Amino acid sequence: MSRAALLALLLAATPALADDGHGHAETGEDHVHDDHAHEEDHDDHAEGGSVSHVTEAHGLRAVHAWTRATTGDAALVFLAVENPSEDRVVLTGASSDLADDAEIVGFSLGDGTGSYAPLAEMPLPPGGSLRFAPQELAIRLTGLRAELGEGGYIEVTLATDRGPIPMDVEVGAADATGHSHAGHAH
Amino acid sequence: MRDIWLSLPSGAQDALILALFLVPALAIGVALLRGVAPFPLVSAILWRFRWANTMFVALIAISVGMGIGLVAQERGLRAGTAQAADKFDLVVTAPGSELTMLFATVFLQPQDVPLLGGAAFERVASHENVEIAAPLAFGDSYRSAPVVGTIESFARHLSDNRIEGRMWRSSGEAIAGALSELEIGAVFTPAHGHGSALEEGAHAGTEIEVVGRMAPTGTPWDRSILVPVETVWETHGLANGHAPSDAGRIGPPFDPDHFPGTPAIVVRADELWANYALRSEFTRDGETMAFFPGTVLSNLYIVMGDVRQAMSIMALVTQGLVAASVLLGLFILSRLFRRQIALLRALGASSRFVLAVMWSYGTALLATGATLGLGVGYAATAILSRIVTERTDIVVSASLGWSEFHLVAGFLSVTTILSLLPVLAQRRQSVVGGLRA
Repeated sequence: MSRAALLALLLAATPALADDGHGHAETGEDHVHDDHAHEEDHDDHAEGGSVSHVTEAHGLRAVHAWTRATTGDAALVFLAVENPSEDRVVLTGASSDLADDAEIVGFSLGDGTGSYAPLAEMPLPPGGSLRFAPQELAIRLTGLRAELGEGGYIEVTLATDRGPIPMDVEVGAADATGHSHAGHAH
Repeated sequence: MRDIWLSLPSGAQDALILALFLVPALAIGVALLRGVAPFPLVSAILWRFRWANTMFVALIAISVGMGIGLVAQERGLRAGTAQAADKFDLVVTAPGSELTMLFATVFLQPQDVPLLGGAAFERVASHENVEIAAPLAFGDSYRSAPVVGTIESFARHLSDNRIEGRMWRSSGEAIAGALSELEIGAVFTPAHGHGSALEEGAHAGTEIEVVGRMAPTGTPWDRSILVPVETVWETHGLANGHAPSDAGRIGPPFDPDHFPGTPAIVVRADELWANYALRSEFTRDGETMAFFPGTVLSNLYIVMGDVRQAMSIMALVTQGLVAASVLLGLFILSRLFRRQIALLRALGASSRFVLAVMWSYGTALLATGATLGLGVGYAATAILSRIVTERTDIVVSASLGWSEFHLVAGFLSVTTILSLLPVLAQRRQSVVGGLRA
């Protein structure tokens, strides 16, 4: 037991450099499958039109896409993707008019510093879902042409073998750990 | 410019940052020392006040060493715990605390956790993208070393297939971890439980022979003794995972109807992307929970990061205080030297020569202390790493990295710039006043 306590103490004293390079606290909460369904309309109204927390296209659902405010030229986008159809779908990448490049990346801890490596594609089985979460899976935007301000939305398109899925991505605080509607079922 | 920087290898980037940190000190040195030769006089001052100088250097070395040791130890701990989790791509357990299961599976800390049944194991093991689905069976020990039941492919994966002797062929054979006290050929009887809950004699009559030894992995598994999972189940009077018609089988496939249960399944996927798909697929409300140990560790580092930041600030404050006290000492020394400096200037020494002497003297103390601080930091890290490794079996390596050299270079540059202040203050003193002092 003392070994466990010592281990816990050591880990507690270990620093926080193993993030995505942005120095954010991240917890990777599940935003989709909680049971706190409610009746309210989840569309928000941003300047220039309304935005949605859920996008349905080509038989797929992209839910609660979010990212963090940043002054740098890179950002990670997180969301949940559901495939309620009876066919397998392959996520092949992403794109955004705001960024030079967008790609699906997977996290690995490596030597303790942590890094994201590109994934060419991500299959999603029939009836399956996939969680893009901090320190797991993300869409990485690089070469951002503008700062991402908290409270805003950006447009990111998820590429699949069925066709593109445009998403409104909520920009949270620089240290956000989840979507502002995390816990709301859609 | 940015593209050029990003195209450089990380080693070149670090070397350039180090050079950048040192530029201010080097620039001041070149500007002050050009055309003058203050070193004989500086050497004389260093020798004349050798005990005070030794104290200054020791203070600087200890304060720099504390900062260095903190950074290096932190990195070593992070690398050690990450290395321990490296072979555990994905872990599937019953729903509960990821942290608890991380401690149980990766760090072999005894935990009371629920079991997954045969159907759940079958679903994981039969998945088309699963290369290894290794059930783990905890609960027994031998002289404080955990006895863990698993399958051959996981033992080979864990040890990178570096096994001295041979792999087990039947129930009742074992592979010892690299740090286990059991040699090949030894026979032992496991005890039920761990620590204070240990029940010696509960498995009386069970004899297990060690037939192989794993190469070191640098993880708590080095202290463990691996046995076929069937051995653990049979020892506890349970079905051994196989139908009676296949009772002598060791390893998968297991029969779900005769599967006693496992607290954790270590999963290795055939493709990198498949890990993320499997994680979503095996996370089912009320049934199974899948997690990446690397993610849990990383999140833990982040949540606890404030502790490290507080420690880093304390180390920086200490360095700042020591640097300030050294500069104050320099100021006092320059007052004590006032008459000698005035004499030098009266004899015709240029003002820049006097500046060069005083600055070189201060820089010699700071540079020597900072350099020795690297050694102090390394020694402190080596000692702490050894203690941590002995107590946790997680190999924590002591090494100095670029960040430590950057820290020392930054400290040196800032303090050498600040050391100009007492020197410049001395320059404003009149020669006549100094001679009368």
